[in-house]
Amino acid sequence: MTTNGSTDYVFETDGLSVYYDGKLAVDNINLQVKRNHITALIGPSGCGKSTVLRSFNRMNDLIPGASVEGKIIYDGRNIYDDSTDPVEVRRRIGMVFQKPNPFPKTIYENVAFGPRINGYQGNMDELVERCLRQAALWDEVKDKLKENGLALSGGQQQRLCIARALATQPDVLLMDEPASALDPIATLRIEELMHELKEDYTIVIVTHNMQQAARVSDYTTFMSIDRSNPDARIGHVVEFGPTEQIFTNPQKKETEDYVSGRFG
Amino acid sequence: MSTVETTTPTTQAPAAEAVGTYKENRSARENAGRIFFVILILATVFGLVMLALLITDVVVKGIFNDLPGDYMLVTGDISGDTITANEVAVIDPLERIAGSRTQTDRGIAGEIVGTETRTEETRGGDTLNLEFLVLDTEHGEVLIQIDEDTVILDEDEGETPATLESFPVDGSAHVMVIGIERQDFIIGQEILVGPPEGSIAGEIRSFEGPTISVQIASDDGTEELSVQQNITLETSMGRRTVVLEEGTLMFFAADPDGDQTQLEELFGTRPPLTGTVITDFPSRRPREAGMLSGIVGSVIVIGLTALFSFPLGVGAAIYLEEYANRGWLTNLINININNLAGVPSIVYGMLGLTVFVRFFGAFRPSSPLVQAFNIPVEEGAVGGWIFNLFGIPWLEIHLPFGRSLLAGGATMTLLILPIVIIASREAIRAVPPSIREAAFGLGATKWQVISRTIFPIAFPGIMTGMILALSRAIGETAPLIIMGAFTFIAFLPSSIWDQFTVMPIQIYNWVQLPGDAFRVQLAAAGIIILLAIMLSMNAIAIFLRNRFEIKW
Amino acid sequence: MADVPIDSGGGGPLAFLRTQAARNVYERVMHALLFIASAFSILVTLGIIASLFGEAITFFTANPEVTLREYLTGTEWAPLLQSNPQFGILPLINGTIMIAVLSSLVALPVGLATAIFLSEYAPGRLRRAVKPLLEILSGIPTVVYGYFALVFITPQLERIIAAINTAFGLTDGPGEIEINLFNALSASIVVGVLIIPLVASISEDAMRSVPRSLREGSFALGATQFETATRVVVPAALSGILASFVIAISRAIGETMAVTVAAGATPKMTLNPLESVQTMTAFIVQVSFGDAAAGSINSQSIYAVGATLFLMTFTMNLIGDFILRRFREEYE
Ligand SMILES: Nc1ncnc2c1ncn2[C@@H]1O[C@H](COP(=O)(O)OP(=O)(O)O)[C@@H](O)[C@H]1O
Ligand SMILES: [Mg+2]
Repeated sequence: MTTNGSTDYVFETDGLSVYYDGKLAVDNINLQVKRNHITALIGPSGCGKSTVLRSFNRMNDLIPGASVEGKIIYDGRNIYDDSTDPVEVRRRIGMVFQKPNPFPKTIYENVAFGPRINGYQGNMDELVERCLRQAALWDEVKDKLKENGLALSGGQQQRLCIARALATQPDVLLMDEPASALDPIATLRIEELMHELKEDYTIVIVTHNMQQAARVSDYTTFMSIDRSNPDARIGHVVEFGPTEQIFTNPQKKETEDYVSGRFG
Repeated sequence: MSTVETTTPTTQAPAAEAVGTYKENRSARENAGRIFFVILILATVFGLVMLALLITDVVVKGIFNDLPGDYMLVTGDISGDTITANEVAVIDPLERIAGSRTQTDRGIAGEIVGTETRTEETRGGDTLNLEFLVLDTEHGEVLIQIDEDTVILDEDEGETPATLESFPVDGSAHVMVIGIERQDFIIGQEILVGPPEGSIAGEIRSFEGPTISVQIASDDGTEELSVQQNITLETSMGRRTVVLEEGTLMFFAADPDGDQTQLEELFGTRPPLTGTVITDFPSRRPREAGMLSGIVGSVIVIGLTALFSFPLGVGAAIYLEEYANRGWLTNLINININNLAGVPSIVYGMLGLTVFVRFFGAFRPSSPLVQAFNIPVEEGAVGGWIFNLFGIPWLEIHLPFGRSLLAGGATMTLLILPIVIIASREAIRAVPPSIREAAFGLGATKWQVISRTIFPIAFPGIMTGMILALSRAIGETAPLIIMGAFTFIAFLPSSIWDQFTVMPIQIYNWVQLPGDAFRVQLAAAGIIILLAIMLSMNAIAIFLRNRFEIKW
Repeated sequence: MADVPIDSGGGGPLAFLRTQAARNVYERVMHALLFIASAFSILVTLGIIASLFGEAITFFTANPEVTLREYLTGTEWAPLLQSNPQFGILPLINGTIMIAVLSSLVALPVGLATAIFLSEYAPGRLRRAVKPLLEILSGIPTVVYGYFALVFITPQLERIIAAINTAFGLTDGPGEIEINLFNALSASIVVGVLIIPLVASISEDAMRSVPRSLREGSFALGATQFETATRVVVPAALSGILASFVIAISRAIGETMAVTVAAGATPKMTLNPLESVQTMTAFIVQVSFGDAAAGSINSQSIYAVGATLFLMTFTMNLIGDFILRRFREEYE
């Protein structure tokens, strides 16, 4: 683990715990997310990866009964401060979901949605084109921008969702198993896309696919369920480090078991 | 089912270890299912046959069977004394209500030559005495039914000469008399007796007195007719006894066993369902009766209902689906809405009557409320009070609402609100949560998520539910009757403060009236129109549902 | 960062983390408006209770000749008589219950059979076609049902009765069966048809929410489809089915126009469905159609009847809703 001064980090969590209906789901997460890198969250299903990811842009606020303890420092400020507007947080920290979820509107309107609600003043056509290009979708859809987003294939839908997220000019892209609903070829497209986006964005990706984590990420966090407390299923971070190290030279036995396929 | 009880041992052998045997009777067991199916299919076929018969029945009566000729309407109460030989003009009671705004042209002027009392049986099985004036008019003798609403304009009381003249009676039929020199009445013969106003068409049932020589008036001179005789006719309204006197006109169908064409040509018949049902106002004469005011009233009431129930219903649905958190208040609202959906519609009528029609009377000029705040209040035409706040006529507010279109729309709103809420909630719930997450993830505020994504996506579903609810409202009769909608309205409303009637009330009124012409034929015509409107609304709703349904 | 400028406030990465005050005013106003819309329904219920019971109380207090005791136990209902009017609600309840019971005899078996067929036998396409049809059936204006009863069903009944009279030689004899033009039977038949969709759709929902595993368990024991439907699915969905019955009967009690048109206006204590009766709802319409003046004893009496009607249906709906809730909790 290397530390190059706090400005290199987009996120630093400090004792982050999330509860659902008063029940602890993930406990005491301490993580750093490095700017312009891809950080992967891996671990067995139900260990709280999505929970952690969703707390980075306060999506957990929307779940009735969910509550968060601890801090997430984003550019030197706690996004869980009372004075922080979750709406602004979400505009700056975009999210791509597990299942592609385009709005049942035209492709154009899908991309333009974020800018519109945030009062974007510039040239919308230009912005839409730029975002679709960034999402590597432009060539496929440039002749049918007025068609319904739901008419695209699954992989195209997911890239449309990425383009839609890019249109609000976010700092960070959170991706929750963005390729799990896609076929291998579409998955490959998304992975290539992530490499390109890394230039401009910081990406945090949740995946249950270890090859994918190994292929795309620079840093990897391995999470699992705390087995010292078998009654409650509480997620915690087992190990965090450069992807290379997690996959070839893990420090913990549990990590080694998991990445070598002996567990989970 | 006797085979059920027969026992066959199981074919499997190991009897030694078996603790018992099974009654194996597959065919009997399967028969139960088969019988269920046969009954179901028979019931369905029976239902479909009945439905087909019924539809044929309605269509035949409403479209193909012509309305009978003229007839008299008999309802109402008894009035006091009349003086023979007075010159009077009588305005038809029902027509007067119909013409509460416009003057009726259905009056009859003439000299009173006598009175007559008849006994009718009512729906409840009671007997009712009906009183008639016999008027000598320029078209001969006319029977006018008198009830408490009848207006008699008496020439001697000074009010009338002008009015008497202003009630022209259409005498065109006069021209078309079929003259018969001498006629023996034949039982079963089709006949039409009397001048156009108050004339009776029917089949001769019996007659009294000697066979007479009848001479018939024609338009270029009246031939004499002198012998008085009573004749009993079977009419569209039951049996009627008619006094034949000097001046009575009689029109015979040429052949007692033949068709009715001559009679019909004489006065012109029409099928129940023609344009006139749509273009005419209510009338006591079936050939002239329509439900124009009902159609217009229904459309406006439904429009107002849509206007009020959309924001209220959709707003409530959005709140309950998107904002409300689980708690006792939400629970209470939920249970309450479910229960409101089951409250009989008639109860909403009573609510509307109390609140909109009457309760707002608290705003009278004399009321402490109005005086305390010094509200500018004017007294309105029908016992209401007008708030003319800004001096703009179309912004004025009448309190109480009275029996107005507005009160009708407000009552209907309360009635369909639970249905609208339930349907809108379903439409909103059908929007997958992932859409909300996507919008939130882009930095949308809660209201932006709702107004820019959820509402537009749920809109076709909401509209479907809305149209279905309105199509139910358009057929609702009871609440508006209770609330006090009228039956005879012979004008089109000029504002939402006007009185009104609706289609189903017209149908109900026709079903209530004696005589197949109203009770069966015109009611069928009205039902065809109402169902056509209702089914097209349903079709639109189903179309919307199929056309805009999103497959996620 | 991407290269398209947007109005990000221009104050660096921290600038957007501002307070939400301005935007939240609008959000709060919308929230409040929507809450008012949903709370309005409670106001409606309160309005119903206040107006019905308020006027009903006036009916009893302003008319010393009417006592609550006489109202609840009197067997004669003749409020429209000028001299010596009678206010015993029992004849109206008699008519109402008779029609509710007879219409249930039509609707409950047919509705349940329809539900069993739709849920257990019908292929998906047929079910999707039949359900909207049922909806339309229940959406036909009830005045139309009344017309059907009076003009179509009653004449058929008359024919059947005449045939029975001839067949058993009763014609013109002392035992001749007589049927009134307005009678409870034909009204009950149409009210029954009217509430079939209600029974069918609620029961079908209940039966379809019975888990597949229960059916599979039954089939695995060698049960036929019919046995599975009647001995496993129906009992498992019983509370939902019962709820549908309660709700349908409540609807029959509140049904107005069909019974007003077809059942007549003769309040009486009778068990003969071939006679003319009057229901509570029909009485309210009768008075209202005759345009009773506000404040008259007639117009007050409809509120007493209306309050009675509301109490009956409201209780039944609450029970039905309660059973349904309990049932849903069982399986969801
Ligand atoms: N909305 C929720 N309400 C209650 N519990 C939840 C909710 N979402 C997740 N959980 C619980 O939190 C734990 C972590 O879930 P999640 O973050 O989705 O795991 P992962 O993404 O690693 O599969 C699980 O035990 C899950 O049951
Ligand atoms: Mg997950």
